[in-house]
Amino acid sequence: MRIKQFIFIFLTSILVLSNYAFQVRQPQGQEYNLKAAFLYRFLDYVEWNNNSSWNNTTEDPLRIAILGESGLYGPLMEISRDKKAGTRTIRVRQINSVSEIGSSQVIFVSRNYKYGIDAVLNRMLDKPALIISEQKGDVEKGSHINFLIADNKLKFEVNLKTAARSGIKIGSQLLQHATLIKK
Amino acid sequence: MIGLRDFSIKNKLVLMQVLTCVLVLGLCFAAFVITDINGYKGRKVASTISFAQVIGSNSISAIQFLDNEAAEKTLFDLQEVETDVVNASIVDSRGKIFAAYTRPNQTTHVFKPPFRNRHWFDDQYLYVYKNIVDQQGQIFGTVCLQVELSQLEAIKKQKFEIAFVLLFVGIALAFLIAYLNQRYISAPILNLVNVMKQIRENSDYSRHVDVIGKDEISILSSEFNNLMDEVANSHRKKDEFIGIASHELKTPLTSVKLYLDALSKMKHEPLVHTFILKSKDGVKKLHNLILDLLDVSKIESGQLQLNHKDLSIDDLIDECIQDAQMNIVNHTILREGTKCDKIIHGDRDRLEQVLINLLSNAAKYSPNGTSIAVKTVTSDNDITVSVTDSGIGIAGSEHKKIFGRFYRAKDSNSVISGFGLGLYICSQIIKRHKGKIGVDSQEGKGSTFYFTLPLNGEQKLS
Ligand SMILES: Nc1ncnc2c1ncn2[C@@H]1O[C@H](COP(=O)(O)OP(=O)(O)OP(=O)(O)O)[C@@H](O)[C@H]1O
Ligand SMILES: [Mg+2]
Repeated sequence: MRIKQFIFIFLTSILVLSNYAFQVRQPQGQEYNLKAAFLYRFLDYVEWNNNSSWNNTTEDPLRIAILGESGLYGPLMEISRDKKAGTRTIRVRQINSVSEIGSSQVIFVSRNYKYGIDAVLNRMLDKPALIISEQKGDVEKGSHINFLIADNKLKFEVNLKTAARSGIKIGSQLLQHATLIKK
Repeated sequence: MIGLRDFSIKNKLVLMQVLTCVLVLGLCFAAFVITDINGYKGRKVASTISFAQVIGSNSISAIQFLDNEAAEKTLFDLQEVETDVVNASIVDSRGKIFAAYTRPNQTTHVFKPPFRNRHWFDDQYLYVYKNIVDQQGQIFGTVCLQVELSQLEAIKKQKFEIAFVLLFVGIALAFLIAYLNQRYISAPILNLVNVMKQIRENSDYSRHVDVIGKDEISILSSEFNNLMDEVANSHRKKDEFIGIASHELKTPLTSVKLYLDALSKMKHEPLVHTFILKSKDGVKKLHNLILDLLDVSKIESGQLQLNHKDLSIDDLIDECIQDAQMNIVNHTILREGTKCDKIIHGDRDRLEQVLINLLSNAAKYSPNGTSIAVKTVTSDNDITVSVTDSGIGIAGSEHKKIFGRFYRAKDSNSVISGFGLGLYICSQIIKRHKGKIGVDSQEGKGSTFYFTLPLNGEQKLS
């Protein structure tokens, strides 16, 4: 039991350390600044069309939920403070469980969320929320938009099929910059 | 150097009109070409700005998502539409090049800040900067274009060609119109000059210039006509005076002559006799002079009556030589060549007067002791009688003038007396006989005076 505990602590510390090391190597602040800027701009090219209460033109705030710990929170909060999505104010929330999603229109699944994209997809099944993720392979699983880094640049892929199923229309202007479009 | 004054009025008018035309056309074309080029530039600026606008709005999302390839593709695709683009760049909001395009085989142009909306021209290119702005008015970057002014040269060339052709046509037309126009000005002047010349040559002061219209030339012409009327008038008065005077002089002189004739036939002391002969001589000269003056006044007033009869030329000449020889003592008059056996129709006394005149001139203007030759030459239609002496001769420039009234050649003026009427009367008589009179002579080499009479209905004497 002690040994087991020790090994666990050892492994996690290595994991944390290596994670830390990884974070140091990648200019993570820069990465999440960009992701926040991209995410904010996605809002211009995305339409929620199956329910009028979700529509961009309403006076209700647009709610963004960040699932799991993420460097995105800070930069996104900053954007939400002085910018709007169309006429709507933006409200950003950090949550730790899918049960807290509520009526958020945008869900960002952090790579630190331990249950991964599947849990979110199961929960949200065809509900009108834009699901954005940042792990390789997530778009194949059904994430609507997935960030990836290639050639030292931030890129993204789009799954039109699942997005359409959720009643989300992604504008062609956005699609033209996607590295991969799943239909 | 030819001064403007050396040009005729006709050429001046044409020149003036052509110059005016060139000036006006030139100014018009300069204005046209300038507005055309400016118009083209303006249109080019407008189209390039809207083209930059299209590029800008098409690349907003590319800038947003940092997609250089998409932006470059946009640039590449659009330059195919607007082929004049040489260099195009999209610069982001911090002034860094985000995407760039350079037409193949052209040098890359680096666009310099400031990146705000502006445009300017250099020698060959138009440069346009256009900010990329979204609906909220946020500036994402700038589209920078370098555009070739490909049609400018073509437009210039075309305009200059048109200008050249039209200028040519304009000048040709101006020349034509000026040429047609000048006739209204220079032609009447030349006509006036012609009439003046004829009047001077023929002393025919009754000739008038046609007066057409009411312009300055017409005024000049009509004033000229008035002047000529005045001249003709004073000539007529002079002729009238000569006529009256010679007539009034002739009557008393005739009686003086008769009395002297009678006196000379009486017996006198030798001295008195010589005096009487001298007086007779002077009176005879005076009488001849008055007869000449009378003839002239008859000719002038058209009252010279001719008494036409058939007469033998040979007889006429023989008789004249006999008569003349009586008065001409210092020269021998010879009939040369063969006789002609011709009969002509004419006034015997008047023709005798002509021949005597020519003979007396020949004697008067040649040294004593020389001989004078009279000759006839016949042709099919006429007969020519000539009188040749070996006297002082006449300069070529005076040949025409000596047949004029009161004209005497310069050399003869002082030495030899005379009125200058003999040849004038001769020429008028021959003219009335439809003949011609003339002279062949050189200064110092003698003279040959001749007259030609027509042989109409001629018969040969058997
Ligand atoms: N045979 C000649 N040789 C040289 N000169 C001549 C001859 N005949 C005429 N002339 C020139 O022509 C002029 C005109 O001749 P014209 O007979 O008309 O006048 P004139 O002899 O001078 O005077 P007049 O009235 O007495 O005859 C003369 O003055 C003379 O100069
Ligand atoms: Mg004479």
